[in-house]
Amino acid sequence: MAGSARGLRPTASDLDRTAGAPDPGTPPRTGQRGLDWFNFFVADIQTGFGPFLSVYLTTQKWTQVDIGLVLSIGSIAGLLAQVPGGWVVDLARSKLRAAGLAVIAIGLSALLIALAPTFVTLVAAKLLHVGASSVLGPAIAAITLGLVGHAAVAARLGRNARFSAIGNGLAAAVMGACGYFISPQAVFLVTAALAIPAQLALNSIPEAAIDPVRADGGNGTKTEEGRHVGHVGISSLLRKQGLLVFTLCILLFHLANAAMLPLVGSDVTMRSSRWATALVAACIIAPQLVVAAISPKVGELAQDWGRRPLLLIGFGVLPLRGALLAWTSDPYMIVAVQALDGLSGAVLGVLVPLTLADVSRGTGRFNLAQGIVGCATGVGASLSTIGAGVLADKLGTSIAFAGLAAVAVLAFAAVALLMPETRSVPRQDGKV
Amino acid sequence: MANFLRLPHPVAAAALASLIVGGPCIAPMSVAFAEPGGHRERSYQNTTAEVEAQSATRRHSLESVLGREVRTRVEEDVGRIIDLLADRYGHVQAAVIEFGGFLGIGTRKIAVEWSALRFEQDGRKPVVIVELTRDELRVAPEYKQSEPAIVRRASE
Repeated sequence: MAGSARGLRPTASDLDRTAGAPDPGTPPRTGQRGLDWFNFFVADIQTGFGPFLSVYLTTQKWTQVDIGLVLSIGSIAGLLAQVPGGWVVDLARSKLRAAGLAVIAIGLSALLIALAPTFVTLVAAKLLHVGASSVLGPAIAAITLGLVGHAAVAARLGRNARFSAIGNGLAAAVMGACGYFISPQAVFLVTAALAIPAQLALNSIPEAAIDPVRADGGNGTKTEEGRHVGHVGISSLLRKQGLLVFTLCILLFHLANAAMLPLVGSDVTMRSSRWATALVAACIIAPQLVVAAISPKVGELAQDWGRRPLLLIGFGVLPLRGALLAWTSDPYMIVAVQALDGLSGAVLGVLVPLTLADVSRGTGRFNLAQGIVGCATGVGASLSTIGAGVLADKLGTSIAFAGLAAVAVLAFAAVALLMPETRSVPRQDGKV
Repeated sequence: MANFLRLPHPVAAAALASLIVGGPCIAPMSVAFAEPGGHRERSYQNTTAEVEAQSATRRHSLESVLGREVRTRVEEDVGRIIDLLADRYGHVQAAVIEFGGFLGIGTRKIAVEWSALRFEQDGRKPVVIVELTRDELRVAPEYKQSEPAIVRRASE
């Protein structure tokens, strides 16, 4: 809707009509608002698929064994899907179409979960969801890069992160209330319904505004009809300076980070009687508010200062958070410490796609690179919850937090010692 | 900690799974029971329709307890039953209750003695009342599937 209103402007309607790519120098105005809303609604539709799924299945009289099995199948398939998902987005002619199909698949998956919670449909729904998500994540970044180009992508990724954080925070509050006051099933019906506005937002981004070569991190030169031109081999992508180091840094980050929130949640549940639910909700929503507030600034600073200083801040906050959580036991203090997560969250939300756009520049493999880092994220997060769970069982929650903080120090050291600056210096002629 | 009853390991592992014959989705079913002592002369050849026609039979509504809401005496919403623990004779000794957290994040699982639970109706909705306070529940030791269950007993 925003797109059609803007389409009345001469510059934007010209852009709509031209089949070719927009001028790389000037980021188009059209499609920006649509991308805002798309980020917002995608964050919304992903909320119910988290740990809430197991709560829902419990109310559907599932046994713990079956729930565990479905969730394990989902997370293993999710890890395996990341790299192929990114690879597919690189090859897709239309990133908008790829994102649109993924949104439909996620809506369908939510509908299956809500209406037919049997074992077979749940496995199908979970596979549909992880497959679609592995496409959707890279596709959003690809649309962003294709829309604004490398020169303006840092600021635009900051804006993306703001709108998805608003979506995450709001969806957590609304869906939590929905599950509590209406029914857990209603959460998945709402999720399925939200796929419609997500699709509408996507439709308001004109296809012509997305340069498909630029969206893959291609070098901008393309032949008459060859859209695959510029896709380098996978091995030469892996040889790109910084990609493997960055993948390692991200793996270590999530190894330290992923288990913190669940541990915090069960700690607060144990320590606070009356306000436990509200406090756990605050632990989830507070960081999102911080991300929403600061991400555009993070995007701006990433362009002014370079990537390294911000990565060091985002990774530096994590050991501090782990140490504070190990030390404090006051539930209100815990919520305050959790807000620090917003700082890391904003940095990661902006700097992960940004660094990958830097590193994969000219390869046409931006989305494959995202898939590789997505896989590392999943591996780190899975190992984190397993490892911290064992530590918490055997030695207590404080030791588990201390262990996570130690891994976080390692992650920070990896960034400080190994990670190069990836921002490219603008050329003399102003083109980047 | 006299209030905690430790069940031997294999017993704890023998959970509800065998009870759930119909897979994850079981419809509530009604079963007709003969009144004890009445109509002994009736043979087993009676059809279901005949049995149901007997005025001396009573209909019991049997429903799965999995996923059922658990509350404390003062009407606080506590959590849900997610599993049952039986001893080696098949007698149910405890229920595993999941509670707390938000959107499934930060939930805790505890095992509560079966006799500490009262099965009641809230209108048409069956609920379970647990004879413990919210504070007693939240500090109960976490239930872990791989370890002997520590069962929270009713406080007297």
